[in-house]
Amino acid sequence: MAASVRHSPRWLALAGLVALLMLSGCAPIEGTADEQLEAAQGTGAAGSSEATDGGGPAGGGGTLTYAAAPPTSIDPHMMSSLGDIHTVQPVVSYLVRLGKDLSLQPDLATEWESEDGQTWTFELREDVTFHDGSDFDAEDVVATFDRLVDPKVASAAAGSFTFLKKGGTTAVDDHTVRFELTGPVGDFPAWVTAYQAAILPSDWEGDFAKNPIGTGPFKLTEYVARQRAVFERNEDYFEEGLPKLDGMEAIYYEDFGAQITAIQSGDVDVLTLLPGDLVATVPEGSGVEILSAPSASHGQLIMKVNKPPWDDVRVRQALALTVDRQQIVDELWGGHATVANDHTVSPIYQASSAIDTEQRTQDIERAKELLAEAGHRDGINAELVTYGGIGIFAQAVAEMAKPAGFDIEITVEPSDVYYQHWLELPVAMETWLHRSSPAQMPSLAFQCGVDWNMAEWCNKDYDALLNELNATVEEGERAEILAEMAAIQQEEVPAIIAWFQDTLSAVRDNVSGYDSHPANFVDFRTTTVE
Amino acid sequence: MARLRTLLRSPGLTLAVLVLLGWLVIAVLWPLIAPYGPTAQTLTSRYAPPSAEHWLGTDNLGRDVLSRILAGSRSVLIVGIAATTLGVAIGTTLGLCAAFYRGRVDELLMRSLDLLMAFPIVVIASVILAMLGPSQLNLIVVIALMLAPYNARVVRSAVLSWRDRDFIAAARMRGESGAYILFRELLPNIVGTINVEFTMRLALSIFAVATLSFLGFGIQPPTPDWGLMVAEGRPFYQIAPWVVVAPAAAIASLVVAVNVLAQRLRAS
Amino acid sequence: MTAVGRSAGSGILRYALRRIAVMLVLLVVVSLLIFGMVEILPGDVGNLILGQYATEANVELVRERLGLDRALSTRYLDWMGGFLTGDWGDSWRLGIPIAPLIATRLYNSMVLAGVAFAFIIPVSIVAGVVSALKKDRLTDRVINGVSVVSITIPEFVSSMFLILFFSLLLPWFPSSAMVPEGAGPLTTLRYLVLPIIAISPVLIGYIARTVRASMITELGADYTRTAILKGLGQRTVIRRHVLRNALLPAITVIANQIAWLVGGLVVIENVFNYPGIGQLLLQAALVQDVPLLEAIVLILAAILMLSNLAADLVYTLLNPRVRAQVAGGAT
Repeated sequence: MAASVRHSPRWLALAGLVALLMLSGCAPIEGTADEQLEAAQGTGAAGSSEATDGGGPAGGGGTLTYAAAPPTSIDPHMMSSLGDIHTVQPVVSYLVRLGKDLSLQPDLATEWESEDGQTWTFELREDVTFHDGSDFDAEDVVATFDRLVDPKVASAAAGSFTFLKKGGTTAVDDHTVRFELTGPVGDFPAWVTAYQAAILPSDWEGDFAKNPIGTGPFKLTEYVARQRAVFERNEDYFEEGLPKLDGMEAIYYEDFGAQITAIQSGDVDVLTLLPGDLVATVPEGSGVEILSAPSASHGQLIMKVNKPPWDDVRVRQALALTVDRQQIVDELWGGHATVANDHTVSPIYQASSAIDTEQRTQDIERAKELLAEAGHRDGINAELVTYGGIGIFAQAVAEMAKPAGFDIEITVEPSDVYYQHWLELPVAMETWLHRSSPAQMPSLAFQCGVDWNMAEWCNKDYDALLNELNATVEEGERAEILAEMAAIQQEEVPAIIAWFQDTLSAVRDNVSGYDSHPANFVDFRTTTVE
Repeated sequence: MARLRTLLRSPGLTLAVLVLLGWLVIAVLWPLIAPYGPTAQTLTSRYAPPSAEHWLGTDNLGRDVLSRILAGSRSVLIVGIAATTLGVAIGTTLGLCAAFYRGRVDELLMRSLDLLMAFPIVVIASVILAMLGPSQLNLIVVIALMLAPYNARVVRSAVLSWRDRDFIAAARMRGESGAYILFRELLPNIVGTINVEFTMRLALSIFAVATLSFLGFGIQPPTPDWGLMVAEGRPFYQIAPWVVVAPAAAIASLVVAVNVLAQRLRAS
Repeated sequence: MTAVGRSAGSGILRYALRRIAVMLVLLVVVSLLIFGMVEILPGDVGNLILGQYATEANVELVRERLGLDRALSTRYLDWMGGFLTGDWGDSWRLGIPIAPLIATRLYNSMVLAGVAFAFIIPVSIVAGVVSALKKDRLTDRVINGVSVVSITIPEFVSSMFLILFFSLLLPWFPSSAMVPEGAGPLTTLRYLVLPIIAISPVLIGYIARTVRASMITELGADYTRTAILKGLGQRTVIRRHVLRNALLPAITVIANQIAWLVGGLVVIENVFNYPGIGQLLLQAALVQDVPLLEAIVLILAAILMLSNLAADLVYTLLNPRVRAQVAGGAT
């Protein structure tokens, strides 16, 4: 009898503990109470939402929720992935802003000029303050660019800005900055739109998660790694009447499938990036609209030109001839892409106007002929390595290549794993994102000897033309040079480039004033949500 | 024969056996049965709903879902059966040794296996596969290692009940080696247990294969694999539910069939 | 307390202490194994941290900064030392300190697990008791059939269907279990319903079976029949004696199921985008984020061992027979 009296209360205690856990309604931890209170106050009057830019008081546009990939680093100068960009950009500004049509728009800089392409002077906007109240001036620009090119900081931008050294940026006065480059760069202003080139205070101490000090339209009020970020309107933003939103929240999703489900069910209002292979998941009339911006982003199927059998240009051309480019554009991209011709000069660049190389199309017979000529009458076996997002395109291309005798075995890796050894792969497929200047792709990936020249392609004429291009400022001349470069690349085909994809995003019907951007930058200044 | 008849009297069991045999036959003969190649794509008819041409519709590359299901049976069964066989082999050997030699060997083995068993399969498998990289072979080895401890325990208990019998003592007096006694005297007596064990582990093995390949640790695209097909079809199931339902149903049917069989064998 | 009681108490204490000591030793072994296994990982951490646009020079810098050029044993001691003092280092991929990240994620998972168990335990017990009482009748067969099927269906399969039916077709529940800030208990529950339903069947199945089996044993035991013969109603007997004895083995099963639950969480959190430890483990494994991976596995190991130990101790305390044995000094 004594035994039973002693035992049952313990049972109840156990059960009680579990029930207590449930009843206490402890929600999973996301942040501190103070910060969420601020964010919650941002719902304001949802009524008046004119989609005009500027004019009228800022705010009143509601609170928007958007989905993004989780950032790896929100240090603006160390950004390298889209998740980073989509969190940081609402908080910062640049010298020059890249417009949707690739035009250069003044942001923190109002004017810029150069006589020889080697020394550039930028006039800066006055009366701009950072989120901590300090004034913006030329010293901040100097500090920013010095940091970007500092080898000890190891910013990814350093690889682009090879022509700028530490100390090459100087403050002429409080509102004028001078860049002295190591060589002429004809379209340098386009280069400073690079997403890492966000202007931060000269005395900034690092750790953006703790000190998110920028000059952008929104303030970052809360950041929980891999979960969410909360923004509120910057009352002192330097553009009159902007931003319209009272606040925003970014929710991070580990994979795009979850993002799609979220926007379909209304958990989020905007998808900052809609991957091309998921276009079919948001059909017409489902309450979600797809926004597209033509861009220079493209996929590359790279073949190392110094490894047999790819060292024979005929083999490379043969593979290029098996791809049905129009079908990929129509079916896999749902029309949200344009056919490309195995070179990197996208038709959206104004400087592509002089290109007249004949468009390569699918020609299985010719492919077989070329293979036979190169001594591979029985076909070729190859291994292609790629990663998740572009895997479906690799599969499509491999299937298309079969009738010509190519037997391609595909390995799909998670992108983090892929990028640990990508430079050593003999045949690989990857996406290259839009670059603001047509000179960037050649410099980054096709110039002889550069780090990211995966194909290990070396063409003296091409390199000489590139140097000439950088020294040329006049548009018409630049176009001529690019046309020659494109012709060479198309002939030698170190990488098969079959399409230029639109950059896609998705919004629910109750969102206005948001648009896709070719470089997948985010701009919420004129956005409103009902 | 009488036993077979008794077993077959249960409709549930008959169904389970038929399903299992069905999948085994399909795994071997699918090249002859499948209407299309599993990687044959028609980009112009992506996400086609089930129709006369494509009984289970098409997927995101216009590939025939039915053909991919049929072809995918092979990888699930190969990995499942191979992993189970390897796992049972390892586990049985370990169980035999532990039970026979007792003392230190037994202690050490059982403690280590206890340690292994305390962990969820998915967790350890994820870590190991992260190191080794995703592939069929790695999957087989990892799952086999996960299964072995459970098997070892059962075998050990079974052997312990036989160990002190007269014929064992007789063999020992004859001077037979440990290995001889283990494999020639003890093993044949526990074959029945091992058979039941095999089926039970097979159920767990298939469950593990499906889950691990869903998570991305198994076979890679474009080879058809049921777990992978579910994972790839996820973003599309609002517009093309068949791409997820078909492989999910296939997995469910196989796992349930093997489980029912295992339960019945154990009960009898 | 009598003299006997006191020494019984200290016997149990000694048992508990001994088990804890063994557990600590095992944890060290596990830490060695994890560290050894994971450190042999191929792959370039520099590229992982810096992203795809890292240059050779930068990668080297990162390796140096992380001290990866030192000997294996030095790194192990460093790691263990840091771990014990609460400094778990930074995640390679995320660049943030690991300890607070794991703490948050672990808490989230425990909330999910806690609510899930609050649902699972009563349901399993009821199912087990009912099917034992109605043994071999229709109710029993139905429950048994359902449990066989539900145990075997992989969680990701059932999750898919749950989302399809109850989130997309019928917009009753959110598809992602990311509970918003400051949500009250009811809202939190609404977000967690689908993941809990997805993860429950396997656990309910196993626990219910155990309860059923031990109920049947207790129902057939001598003391039960004696009590009924003595005139106590069946209901009273069950309530006062049978239930208590039958539920004891369930404790051990529940503790074992925690291991299964952790495995299930990896899948469920992935499917429902729930910010728990399972999702963190999966992400870390897929990208070979070594320090994060090591820390998570070690923490999970500790938790699993602790829960098994706790279950054993509770069982020992509650079961008079085992308790006497242990108190008397037997192992």
